[in-house]
Amino acid sequence: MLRVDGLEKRYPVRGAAGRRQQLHAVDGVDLEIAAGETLGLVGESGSGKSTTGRCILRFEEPSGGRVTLDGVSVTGTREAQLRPLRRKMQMVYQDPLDSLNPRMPIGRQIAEPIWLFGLATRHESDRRVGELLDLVGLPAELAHRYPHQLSGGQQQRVAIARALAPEPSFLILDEPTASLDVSVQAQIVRLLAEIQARRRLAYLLISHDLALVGVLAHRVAVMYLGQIVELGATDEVFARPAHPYTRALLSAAPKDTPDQERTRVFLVGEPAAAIDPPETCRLHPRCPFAAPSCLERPAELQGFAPGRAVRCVRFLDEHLGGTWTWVPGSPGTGA
Amino acid sequence: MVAEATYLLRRNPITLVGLLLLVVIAVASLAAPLLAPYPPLGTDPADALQPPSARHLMGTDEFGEDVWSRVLWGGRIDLMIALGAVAIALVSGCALGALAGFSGGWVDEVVMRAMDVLQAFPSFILAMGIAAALGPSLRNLIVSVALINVAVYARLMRARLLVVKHAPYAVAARGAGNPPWRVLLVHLIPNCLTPIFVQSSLQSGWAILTAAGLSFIGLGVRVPTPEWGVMVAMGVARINAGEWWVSFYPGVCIALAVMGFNLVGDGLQDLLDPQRR
Amino acid sequence: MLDVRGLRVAFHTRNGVVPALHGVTFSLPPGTVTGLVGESGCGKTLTALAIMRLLRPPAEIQGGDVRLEGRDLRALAERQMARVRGEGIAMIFQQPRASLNPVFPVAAQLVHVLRLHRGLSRGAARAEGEALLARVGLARPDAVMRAYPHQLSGGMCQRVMIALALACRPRVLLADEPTTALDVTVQLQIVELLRGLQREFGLTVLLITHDLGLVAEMCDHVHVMYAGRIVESATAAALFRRPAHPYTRGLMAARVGTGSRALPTGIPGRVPALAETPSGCPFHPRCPLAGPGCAERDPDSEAVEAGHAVRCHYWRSGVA
Repeated sequence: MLRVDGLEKRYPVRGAAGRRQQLHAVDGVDLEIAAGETLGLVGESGSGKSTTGRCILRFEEPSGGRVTLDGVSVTGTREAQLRPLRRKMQMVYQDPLDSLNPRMPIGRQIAEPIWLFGLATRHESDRRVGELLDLVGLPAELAHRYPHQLSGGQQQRVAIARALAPEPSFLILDEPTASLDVSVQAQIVRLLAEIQARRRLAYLLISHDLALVGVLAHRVAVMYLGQIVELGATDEVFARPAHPYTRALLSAAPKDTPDQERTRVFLVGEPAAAIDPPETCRLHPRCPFAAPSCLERPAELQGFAPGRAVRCVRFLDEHLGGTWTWVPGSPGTGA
Repeated sequence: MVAEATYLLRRNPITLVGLLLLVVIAVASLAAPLLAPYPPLGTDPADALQPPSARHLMGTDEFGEDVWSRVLWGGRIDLMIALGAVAIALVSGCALGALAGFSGGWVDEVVMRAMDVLQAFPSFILAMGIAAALGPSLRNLIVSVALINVAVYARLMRARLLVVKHAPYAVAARGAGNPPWRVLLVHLIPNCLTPIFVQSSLQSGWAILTAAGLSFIGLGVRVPTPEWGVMVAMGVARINAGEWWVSFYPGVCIALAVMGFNLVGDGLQDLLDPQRR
Repeated sequence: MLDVRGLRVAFHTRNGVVPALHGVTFSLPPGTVTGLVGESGCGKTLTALAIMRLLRPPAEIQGGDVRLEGRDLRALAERQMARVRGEGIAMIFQQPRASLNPVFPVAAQLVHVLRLHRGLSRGAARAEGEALLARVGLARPDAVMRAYPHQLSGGMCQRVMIALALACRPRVLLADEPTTALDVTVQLQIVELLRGLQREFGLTVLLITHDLGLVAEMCDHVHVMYAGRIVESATAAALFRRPAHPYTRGLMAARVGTGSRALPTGIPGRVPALAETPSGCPFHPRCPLAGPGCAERDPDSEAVEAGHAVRCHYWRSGVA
């Protein structure tokens, strides 16, 4: 349904001594999402996951690559012709309060996409607001309120209602629960799952929260410095992570109870920005499993099992060479 | 909104003082035909330069016109200048600033360099030049006071717009199917207006001052029009002779009106900010 | 070590005085990590600020006792209190970069603190500062000393904040959401660092967080807060084994377990705004156990077992 091929986004930056350099925020990302499916896009700040989302919707102009929705090209289309595509791809943003116009009653904000995309007259769309508010579990009376008069959870429900208003087939969820209280997060997670089951929507779930991705996503793509480093079905990736970065992320999640034992994979330092990055592995300086051989050839995303791919030279070598053992926390014989 | 306004005014008595000042001035000016005991242009040479008395509350000027009546009528003209000039400046300035900020690129460059040119001159000198070129009349006075303020609004609008243009709700509005012009008009501009309203109130006071100044030096409205600046000018030569009242009362009015607008401007800042409640 | 008894704080608003903390009582046993858990608006940060006497109007302490090693902090003069902040109790915050002064390099801030509180000479302070930065795991302390906050990453800023907090050798460390703003892998580093420092210096830590996972990682004791009250207190092990308060259980059910595919269960409704705190037990409108009396009487603390207290009329009907 949605296909992303070799998506790139580069920003010019000025390096030391005024040299022109390029920040590779998104560097050759390939994705595919089917109807009714959730793909989790996981990574830390600076991994390019949010930029990927914005480029897919053309809120930012990709520097390269192709995005198609149901076979129709989203990239390379003029803004005016983008409108019918925009109707089908909606987004829920991280901070609900920031994503709602502070000076417009929420009912009008939910109604806007309905009549702006020509799905109903302006008058009719006001009626549908009530139905949409009901769908996201809010009373219809709230339509006249302003965003700041609602709680965070209610604001996010409004944002979801607005995203659903033009009857899209694909939703991008950009950290949909990150700014909410724990007890409210769970409500939103349930709501999102319910809506997907009911409407067979495709979700791209952008999040740093592995637990959230684990619950909602069918497949998961892990991003590091603009590249996808691991891809696979959520259960398999969680059970047997191949890339050291995925292992580090998974092991960094806090314990569920104090007496739980957990093997931890520590990365060194913090991610640098991908400014004119090398072809070789980008995690190498931080990776606890790094070997000199890692830098001998470009790190490429390569399939190694049905539905699974990884961008780790050492893993691929050892896995194909049969020396790999699935011991949590230690790849192969090393570490 | 009303409840919040009353709360803010209660908590912020200075704003209330400013508001009361403006209300009194506006009501008095509007009710000038009822309140003024004499016509504003009613000359009476026999009554020239009378000091304040029960018959002439603020005395009379050299033509025997009643200063109190003229001050009342003058309020209409000065408020009209202030509001007219600010309205023109606000609408054209905001339009230019919005255009520049929203489209960016060369449009931004052209508009903002034009604004630089306007602001390169000391504003009063520029107003003098414009007024002199257009010729002295009430309409031209309003236009010249407006013109020198256009740049202020354009800059404010552009600066605010550059901030809100990248706000998530602006992106969200695009995603909701708003064409660019609608994003600008419906979603962005309403969120830029707070500092502009504040500025308008401050600028209204300042406009009265400029207009009075221009009239004072003969580039605004002409004698005998009842305008506070002109009236100050008429009496200024006679202050040394002890006939202070001709200039004093219109001068006080200018000061009070300017103060009123400034106090209200400060108060508006609190009221219009939805986050600061 | 630190004892808080019946701490009450209120806000002065246009609608009169609105209480925000309703008699918060807890103590920090020396050398342990105590968690103060709750959602936004429950009063956990307010508690920390009240302890530090850093509340600003319209917030005001209305009553209660705060004692550090027996010394009544509320009775101290402002000058003595300034010494207590730092030497007695140090604090680190959620937004490390915002808590550092952007116009001074790290060195200036660190040296200043070391000279002021420890009376070191400039050179000694500098050496000690570098040692501290190295201790908090910064690879190149000399470079970090020269850096301005904006040149450092979030994790490095938090390490600098921790170094600053440790510079005065405090006895108590208040950590307010120390990892919330950081990336997951960096969070883990900071947690490890704090745990290591806590053991090494025998620090007494009050960890303020909304994240039960962080509690599971770090805490010995936990107090769960809701609407300005502590509704449950226990050792971390006991709390996770046998949560007694329906709110605590709700929070646990709202978490997404790692590797689990089960959808979490939310708590219905929302955290009440201060001015709209319900009568009686503030949790009753959202509570699955609510019964007669909950709306009328705010429950007293009851013992579940030794060292485990809960404020709920009906906790017995919910405990497993």
